[in-house]
Amino acid sequence: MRSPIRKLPMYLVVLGVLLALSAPGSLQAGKKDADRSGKVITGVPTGYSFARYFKGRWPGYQTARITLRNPKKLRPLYLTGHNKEGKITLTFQDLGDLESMAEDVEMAAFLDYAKCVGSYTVRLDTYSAADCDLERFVGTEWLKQEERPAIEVDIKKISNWVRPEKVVKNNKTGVVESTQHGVKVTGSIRVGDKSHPFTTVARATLWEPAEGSPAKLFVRFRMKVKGSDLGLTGDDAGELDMYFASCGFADHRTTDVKLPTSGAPDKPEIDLGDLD
Amino acid sequence: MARKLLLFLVLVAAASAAADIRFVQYAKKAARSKMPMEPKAATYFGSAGHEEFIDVYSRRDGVVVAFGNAWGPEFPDLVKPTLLGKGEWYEVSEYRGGHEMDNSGRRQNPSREYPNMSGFLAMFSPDLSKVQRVVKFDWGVATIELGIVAPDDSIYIAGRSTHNFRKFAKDHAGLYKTVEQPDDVKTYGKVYWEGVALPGDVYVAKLNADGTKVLWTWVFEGHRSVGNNLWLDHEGNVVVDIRGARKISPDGKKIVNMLGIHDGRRLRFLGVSPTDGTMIRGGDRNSGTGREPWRKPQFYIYDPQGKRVSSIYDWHPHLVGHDDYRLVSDSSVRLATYAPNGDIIFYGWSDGGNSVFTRQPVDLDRGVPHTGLGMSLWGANVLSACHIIRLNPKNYEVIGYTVWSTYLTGDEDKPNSITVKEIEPLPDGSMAVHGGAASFLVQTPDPWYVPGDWNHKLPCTPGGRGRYVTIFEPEFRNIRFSSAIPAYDVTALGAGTKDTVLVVGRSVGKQSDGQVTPVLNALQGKYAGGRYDAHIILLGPKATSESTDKEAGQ
Repeated sequence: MRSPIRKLPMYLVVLGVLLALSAPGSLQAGKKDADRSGKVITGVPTGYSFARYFKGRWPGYQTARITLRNPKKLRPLYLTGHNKEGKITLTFQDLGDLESMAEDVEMAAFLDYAKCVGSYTVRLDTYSAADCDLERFVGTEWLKQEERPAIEVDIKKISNWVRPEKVVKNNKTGVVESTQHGVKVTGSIRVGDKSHPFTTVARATLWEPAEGSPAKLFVRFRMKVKGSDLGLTGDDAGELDMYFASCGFADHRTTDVKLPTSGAPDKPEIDLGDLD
Repeated sequence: MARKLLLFLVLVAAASAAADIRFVQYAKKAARSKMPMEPKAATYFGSAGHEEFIDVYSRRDGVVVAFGNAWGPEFPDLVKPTLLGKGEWYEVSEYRGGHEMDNSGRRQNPSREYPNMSGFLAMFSPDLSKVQRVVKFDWGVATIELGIVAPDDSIYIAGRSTHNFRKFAKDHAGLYKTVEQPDDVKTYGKVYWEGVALPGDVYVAKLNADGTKVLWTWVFEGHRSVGNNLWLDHEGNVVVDIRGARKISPDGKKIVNMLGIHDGRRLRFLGVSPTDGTMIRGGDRNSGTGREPWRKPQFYIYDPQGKRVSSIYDWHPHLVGHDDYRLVSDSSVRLATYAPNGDIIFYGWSDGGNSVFTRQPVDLDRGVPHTGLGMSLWGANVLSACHIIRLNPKNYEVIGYTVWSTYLTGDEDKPNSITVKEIEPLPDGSMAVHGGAASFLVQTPDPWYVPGDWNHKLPCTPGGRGRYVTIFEPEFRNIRFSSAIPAYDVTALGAGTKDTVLVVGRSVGKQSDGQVTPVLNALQGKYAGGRYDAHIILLGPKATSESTDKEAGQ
């Protein structure tokens, strides 16, 4: 599709740019919108559960991945896998006078994340590595084993998930992504009988479609991990850079969101994970 | 205020740039190349029969060696050929089924299994003004399917051969060696054409620089097929795929078989490094990401002994299909070659813009450096997209990358399909490619192909389509030359001396829209008949007024 700007004569384009620049405070407008939208979560469903989507064959694709990098090695190690078990529950807090705030924002539930409880485990066992050139990969020892070991990441606690810092709505698809960067994650990473506890800062994103498919919860973080803590030796025994990303699905979502009114429960619950 | 002014200038510049659709942007850019090239000579080499050139090289003294085949019985009479071997003429049709038209009424090409088909070498002066020598197998002796000129000017050829070739080689070759026919009669053994039985041999031979003397030959009895290329490795061995890689020493005495490395249906033997002897196979295979089917590229690197030492782009489909990547455009490694310094250059095909070729081969999180042209695939629907990639062979880091695409014009401004059939790295770092283009190939000024009335209103050189030749500046900075070639099937490109490029193929003279194959300073200016004539083109640096003055001694 040809951009509409190209259909305009050049003098009109220049005139438009001039008018836009001459409007008072025009450069601040975007910032103001971002501040306001940071509080908006649209269509928040209740009763999330992961279970339905992991008991059957769906989803067929792998929802978690991990990357291990070693500055001494040419080739990073990529693994993918699935959520194995666990459940996360997000609870939203009541901000008070919602009805007056609702005049500002379309179909908004003025709820901020108040707490996140639960834990889950991700199992990564699909290696993205060939059967040659193994010395140049991170984790050479694992790759040489006849049965390559699985890495399991236990997310034991997610805290400090207070409110999304960035909310992006795709007006075409209706998808809303709300992200917070400063989420604190405590857990451990296990390979065989080796286990390494960690606490790190993560990025959490709630992805909500307008309709149809379930909402998704993404947790992503980077951290340093010692290879020897995972049972690696040689060049891989030192500090490795690890990237982790997991995705979980809500059981269902409710598009008809009613704003809490007087007498309504103060803490509607959003169940974001049931992986049993 | 200063910030606003700066933003204003940036926006005005962006608006001005956005005024042109992509095709016009790139065509205008190509017209500004600082290293433009132009045709210097273009000539037919044909007769009333069918002829073709299949490859071309330049000797150290500048003599152009073109390899070709003729179906006979006529042969171009520019120079009387020196005959190799004594053959015979079979009274059979060159067309499958015995008729020029097939069952659907279409004109057939003459068959390559035709027993009279005969290979030849035509040696031209560097400026194509003279044919210095023609050496030809007698009818029914051997074809030339592959040819290469070594750095010492010796010539290697390979093709299909008959019992007449066996006799000739035994009597005249400096060394005659054979590989016996294996027992598998389905794959090996005699071939038949309209009742004529031929032994199904293929051969590799080394000739002297004039092509008149056979120094050695290997006959692969009953092997029936010869591979897609000849390569010379760092030790001067010639490598060819005849039912598996065969490495023959420069003196022809020793052969090493690496039969595990061969052309397959989905995996092709693509190249041998001239600097360290490593080899490449590439292609694709079908896989699934869990959400969708995905054609996964394959790129294997072998050491000179034939052991697989590395594999790149070998991502697990589930990783590529992960939400973080979604690089699920079908992708395939279609051809590869080595630059003179050992860098790997390859053509990656994809059916869309979200391809793993846009990432580093061993690190999916890092993009490739977009050097040069700056072509993009945004807005693409399903198409044949082309990625030309230059790799460091030591660490597989992409050091040069460009999208090479055609673009629809009008309101669409979308990428359109293009393919590449050969990449020819040139000594100065430039790169020549040929292939097939859908509508709106970016052409440089004064192209051979001038479309009718469908894009002449554009404020740039009109787009081409069909078979094309393009020469990129080093690091794909710009396009030195680009044009579709009417009524032409390009078969090979070669680097000439003094920054020249040679193009060879077969021409049918004129295509249905009336456009004709170019001729310039031609030895034979007219199409001579038959299904096609051999044809050769010489491209050289464009003469500027300054260079013309120097040549004139002013």
